[in-house]
Amino acid sequence: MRPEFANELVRLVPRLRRFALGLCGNGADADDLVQAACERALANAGTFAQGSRMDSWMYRIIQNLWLDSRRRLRVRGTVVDPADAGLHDGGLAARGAEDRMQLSRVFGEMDRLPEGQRAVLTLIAVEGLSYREVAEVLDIPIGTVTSRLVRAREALAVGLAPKGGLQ
Amino acid sequence: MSRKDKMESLDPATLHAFADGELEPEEAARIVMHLADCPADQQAVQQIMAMNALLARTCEAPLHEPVPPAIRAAIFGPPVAVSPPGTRKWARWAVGTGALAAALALAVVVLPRADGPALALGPVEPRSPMSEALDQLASGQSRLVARKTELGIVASFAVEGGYCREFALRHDTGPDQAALACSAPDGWHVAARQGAQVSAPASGYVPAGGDNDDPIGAQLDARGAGLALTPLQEAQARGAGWR
Repeated sequence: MRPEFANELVRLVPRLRRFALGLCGNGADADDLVQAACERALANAGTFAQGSRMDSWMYRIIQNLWLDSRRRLRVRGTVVDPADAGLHDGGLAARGAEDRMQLSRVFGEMDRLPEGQRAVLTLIAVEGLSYREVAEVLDIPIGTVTSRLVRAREALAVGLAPKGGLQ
Repeated sequence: MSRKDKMESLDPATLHAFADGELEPEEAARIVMHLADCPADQQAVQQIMAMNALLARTCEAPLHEPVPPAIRAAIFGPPVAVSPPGTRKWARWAVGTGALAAALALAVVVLPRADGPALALGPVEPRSPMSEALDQLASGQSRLVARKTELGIVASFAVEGGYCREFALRHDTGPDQAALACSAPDGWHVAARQGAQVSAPASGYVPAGGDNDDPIGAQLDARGAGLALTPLQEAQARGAGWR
C-alpha cells in the first residue's frame, strides 16, 4: 500500500462519516459503516486507480456496503425505528432539545425514502456533489439521478411539512 | 407587488437543477428572470434550498469531530504496545531519572542509533526533519523524516495558546503510529501518541497509569481544541509560524 493512501483516506473520514450519517440516520451505525468501508478500501487498495478521486471511490464503497446491510436487515426482518434513529448520535447530544427533535424528524423522514433516493439526496444535498459526480459514484444515468432527487425531495417536503415547513 | 401567478411553471427538474447550481450561467440567468415573475416557482426554489440547508445541518456533526479511534485504527493498524526503536530521548530520561526509570526504559527499548525519529513524548528537536515536517506539511501530505520513516499530517487544530497537529509515522518495518504534536514557545512537543506507554511532561519521566483508549482525543479535549482547521485556516496558521 502506498503510504499516502492511508493519509488520504483518514483525511476523508469526516466527510465519509457525514455521508454515512445521512444514509444510516445514526452515528453508531454510520461509524460502523465507515470503518467497514475503510477496511474494504485498504484490502482493495491495489484496485484503486492512482490519480482518480478517492472520495468518489469511497462513497461508492460506503453506498454498496450500506445497501448490503439493508438487504440483510430486510431478510432478517429487523425493523429500524425511525423515531429512535436520530437520538443515538453522540454529536447530537450537545445540541438543544428542539434541534435534536428536528434532527430526529429529518432522519425519520429520510428513512422512509427508498435507498436509491436517499443515497442520491445525501450525496447532493449533504455532500454537495454535482449530478454528474453522483451518476458516476452510483453508476446510474444522470436522468435517474434527477428523477430520484426530485421524488426524494417531494416526499421529504410532504413528510416535514405538517409542523411548519422548512423555513 | 406584481401578480403574474398565471406565469407558466417550469418543470421541476429544471428548478431543482437551478437550486443545486447545476445550470450553465446563461440558463441560470434565464431562470432568475423567470423567478422574478413566478412566485410559485420562486417558492419552490426557496424550499429546495431550505431543504438542502436543513439536510446539511442535520448531518454536519462528523465534520466537527476528530476521527474516532476505531476508524483510525482500521486505517493505520491497531495501536502499538511498544515504542518503535530509536527513542533516544528515553535514554536521556533514563540517565537523568534514576535506576528504576533506567531499568524500565532499557527493558522496553533497545537503543541503537535510530533509523526512525524519536517518537517519545516531549519536545521535538528544533530544525530536525520531524520538526520541519510538522512546520511545513499540510494535512494529507507526508514526507520522509528519517530512513524508511514517513511522517504524514492527519489534521490540525487550534488549541489554547497555539496549535496541535495530528500525524502518523509510518515505518517500513513495524506498525504505524498516530501521535499529536503541539506548538510551544520552543517548538513542537509530542503531546500524545496512540498506545503510548509513558507520558513524559517536559519536567520528567512518568510511567503511565492506565492505558487510555484515545490519548490523542483526550489531549485535544484537554487543550480545548476546536474543529479541525480548514485548508485555508491551516495555511494561515502555517504562514504565521504556528503561533
